[in-house]
Amino acid sequence: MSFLQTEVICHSRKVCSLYKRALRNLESWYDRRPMYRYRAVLLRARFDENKDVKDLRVAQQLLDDGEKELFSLIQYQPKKFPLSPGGVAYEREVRAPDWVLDYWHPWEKAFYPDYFAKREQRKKEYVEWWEKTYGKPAEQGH
Amino acid sequence: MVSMYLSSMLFLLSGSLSCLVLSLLCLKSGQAWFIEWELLSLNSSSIVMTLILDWMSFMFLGFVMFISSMVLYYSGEYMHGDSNMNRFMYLVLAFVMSMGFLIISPNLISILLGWDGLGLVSYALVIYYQNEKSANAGMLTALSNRVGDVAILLAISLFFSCGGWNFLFYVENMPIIGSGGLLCGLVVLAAMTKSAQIPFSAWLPAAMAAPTPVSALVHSSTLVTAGVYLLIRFSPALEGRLSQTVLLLLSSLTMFMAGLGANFEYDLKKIIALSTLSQLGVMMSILSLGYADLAFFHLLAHALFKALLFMCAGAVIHSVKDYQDIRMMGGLVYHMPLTGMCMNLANLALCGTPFLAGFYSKDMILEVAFMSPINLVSFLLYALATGLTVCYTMRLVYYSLSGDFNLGNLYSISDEGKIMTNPMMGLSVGAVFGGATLAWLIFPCPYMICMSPVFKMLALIVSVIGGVLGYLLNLNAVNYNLNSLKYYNSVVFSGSMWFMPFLSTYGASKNFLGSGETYQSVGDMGWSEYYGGQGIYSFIMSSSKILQVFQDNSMKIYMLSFLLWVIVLVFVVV
Amino acid sequence: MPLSSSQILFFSTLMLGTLLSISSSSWFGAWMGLELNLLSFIPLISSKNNQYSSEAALKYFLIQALGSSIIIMSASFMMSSSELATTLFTVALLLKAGAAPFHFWFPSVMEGLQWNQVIILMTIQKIAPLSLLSYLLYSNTLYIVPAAIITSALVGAIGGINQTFLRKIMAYSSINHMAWMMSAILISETNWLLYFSFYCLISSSVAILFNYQDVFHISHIVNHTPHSSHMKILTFTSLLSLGGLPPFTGFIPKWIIIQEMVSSHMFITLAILLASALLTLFYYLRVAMTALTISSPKTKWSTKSTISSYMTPSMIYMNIFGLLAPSLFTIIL
Repeated sequence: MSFLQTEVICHSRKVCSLYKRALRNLESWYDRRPMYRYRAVLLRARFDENKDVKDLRVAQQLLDDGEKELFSLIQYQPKKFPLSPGGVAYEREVRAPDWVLDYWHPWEKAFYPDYFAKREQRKKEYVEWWEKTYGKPAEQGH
Repeated sequence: MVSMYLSSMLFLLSGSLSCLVLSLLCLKSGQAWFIEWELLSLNSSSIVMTLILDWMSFMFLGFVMFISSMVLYYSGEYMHGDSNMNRFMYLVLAFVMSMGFLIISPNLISILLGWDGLGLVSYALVIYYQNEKSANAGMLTALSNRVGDVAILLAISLFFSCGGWNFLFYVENMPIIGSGGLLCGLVVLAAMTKSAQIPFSAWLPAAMAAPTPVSALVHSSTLVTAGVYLLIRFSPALEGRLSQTVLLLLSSLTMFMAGLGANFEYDLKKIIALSTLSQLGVMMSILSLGYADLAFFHLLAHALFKALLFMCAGAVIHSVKDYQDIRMMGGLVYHMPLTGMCMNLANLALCGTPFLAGFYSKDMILEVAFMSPINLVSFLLYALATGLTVCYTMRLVYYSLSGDFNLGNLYSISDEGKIMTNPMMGLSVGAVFGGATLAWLIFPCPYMICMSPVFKMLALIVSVIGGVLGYLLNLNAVNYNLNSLKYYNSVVFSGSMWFMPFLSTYGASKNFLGSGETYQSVGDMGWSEYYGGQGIYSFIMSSSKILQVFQDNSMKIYMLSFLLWVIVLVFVVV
Repeated sequence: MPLSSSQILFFSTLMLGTLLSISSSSWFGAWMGLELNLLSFIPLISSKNNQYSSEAALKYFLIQALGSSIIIMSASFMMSSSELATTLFTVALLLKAGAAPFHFWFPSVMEGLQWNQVIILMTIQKIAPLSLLSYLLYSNTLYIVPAAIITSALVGAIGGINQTFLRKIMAYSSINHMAWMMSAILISETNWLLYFSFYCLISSSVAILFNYQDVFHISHIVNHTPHSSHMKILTFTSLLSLGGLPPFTGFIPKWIIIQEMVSSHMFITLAILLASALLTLFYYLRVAMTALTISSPKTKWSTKSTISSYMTPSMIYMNIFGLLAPSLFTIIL
């Protein structure tokens, strides 16, 4: 749904987003921490320089230029956290959700009779607890 | 209950030992066994399952089993806690089996058993982790290798004219056979896809989505060398052919491209994959110069230290919380000295440091190549790639082993995992002694190398220059400007493998998908709909409506129209 | 439904009229038979005292009377110009049979009939005009009949597409089949007899089944599901058989006609017939498809809830025994 803008994003949010992406990009290029900090300060200074611009036309122009500059310097292998989207280990471990067990065939369930008996028991107890805590759900009308 | 990793390790290790002993026996006696099992006979050409058991296949088999035993033992800890551990083990064993079938079949049909088995199992291993990245990488791997499978199938059909598919018998006198050139071209194409030479390089770094033990076994020492091995067996037929020349250029280019790319790569495993690619280029190029024995020598030596390197990388990745980015590593030698030592050993062996495993094969290859009459392009690529190898190795050492510690505050980096470090020690022995031992064993008489001092020293000189550059270029102070940003375009170009991943994925599918979309919109949903189903339907419906309008008249009109017809007919007839 | 004594009387005179007209040696006799047939069908139509049946009866009477008058008029031309007379005979018989382009009365009459009268109109009432037509085929009328074949094929196919009343669909299907029958007449009398007898069997089986389920509209068929899949499959086997789908009986006469037409080089007519057969199959399938695939709650009361024991075997016999028919025809032809 990235093509469909569902909310109005104000100028300052756009600037903040640009700043964050620029920082992340710097982090990917300058891979030693002290160097990165130095560059980050410089970047912050560049942003701060124009923080008092009141004329929105100028501000918009500055933002566009910033986006262009960022695009022209984007890292070809951005640093990613392994478990975040785009990272190497993202979704590496697939954990089947618990409710999948409810859709097992009775024959499959028959292999683990104790477990499923207990599971049914627990479900019943949970429903009881729910109804005691929150009351019965309203009758569904047609 | 004995763990599966232990039992497979024992099984494979004993197999490896017996294979190596048999290989020595074969070397000593010069014997080779050749076993044929006829499956069926077709127009006087018999389809046979052929096994060749000579020193070469025994030795390769021994090495494969040794490395896989180490890798399986190693994965006992690396894959510990994985819910599909046994599946993983079985897949790796299936892989070793396919590799074995490939090694011992010098028959173009029976080799398919191993060849396709490798493709299938490597696909299953690459998609072992069930995320999108792995799925994409697996598809790229499988489809790239499929090109080679098709080439082999075509070669089989061309081989029909020889009256048999035991290529071992025909490679010597291939030139007199019709369409021999095309046949060699197809086999070279197959080998190039398996060994990820230049147009098909993209899959090898992509396949790093597999678990690291898989990379250590499959994508460094066995699967990718299958293409080289096929060509080693095939090499007499390539003598003086166009395909040999093309192979020389492409493999030198691969060597250079991978070496350059590794200098701009940040993913630890991909750096090693690119270095594998570079070494495959070395093997292929020396093979296309006609020195198949040197290629085999380098193949074996490389397998030892590259598996070691991958295992070290796996140990590192395991302890830095799944980070593969070398920007997050650094200073690891203080925390994991043993792994650091092994990694350094493998790195030095890779660079061809004297008296380590890589030295004997790589130095010899370079000198033989410099001595043979090759063109300037190949020569330059050789020299540059040698320098680049040392360059990226030093960069890797700088980033991961030495330098600042870059990981977060919470970490548990250590060498304590005995199950991971023991096989590393086992392979380290190979990385130290493997080269010398092999050099003494498999060359009955020494190579005569005669060249000027400059050329003799050239390999050493470019290595030293490369190493110094690699270290210096990555040194940084706080206020240095990053020069990569000044040469942004070329840096991105080199760092993205010359855009080959895009060409193999987007480039290969763009035109077909695009024309498919065009045909869909113009044909299926356009003209053929207009003149087909919908058009006919709407035409019929509208005419049906007209008929309905006629139908809705009063009976008088019908009768009048009938009378009109009658009158008309009366006038027509009379 | 037990027949009343008057119905029996009219039915026998109806048959008598048909027999009289097809077996008479003069046009006067033929006219007389047609009149007898017409006048005994009128009371059969208006057996129900409602608006629809009387409207249908009146329409039927007017049209048939017009046709009969043209016949008796042209019979008197026989002496002076036999050419004109045969032309007019042909046109009048086409009108009586309900072939296009004189088909307009046919669907609107069908609309007001009960299913059993529909059967009579589709089968028995066709015998006399078509047999008379087959006697008429001198060379000079040949241009009228092919034109009627083509228009009937097209009208039967295209007209039925937009219909939702089952009786109208049957009417258009009957018009379309008329085209096939007239082509059969052009080839040989045996072919025509074959096609006609098969057509009678299949169309009456479809109509009987519709009658049995009391359906008159497509939506009735969809909603009307108490007889289970059993009845549905019977109905749609018959429908597809009527459309001429290969494993069923309906395919056999079509096959024979196609082969005969090819061997007598009537390619253009054949092409149009085949294309129109496709369209008719389309609307039969549209009837069948919704009922077979959509299950919806029953909304219409059905008066007939059980299926009688003779129904299934006889319908299956009618619609499947065609598989055995080719061997049968080797004896007949």
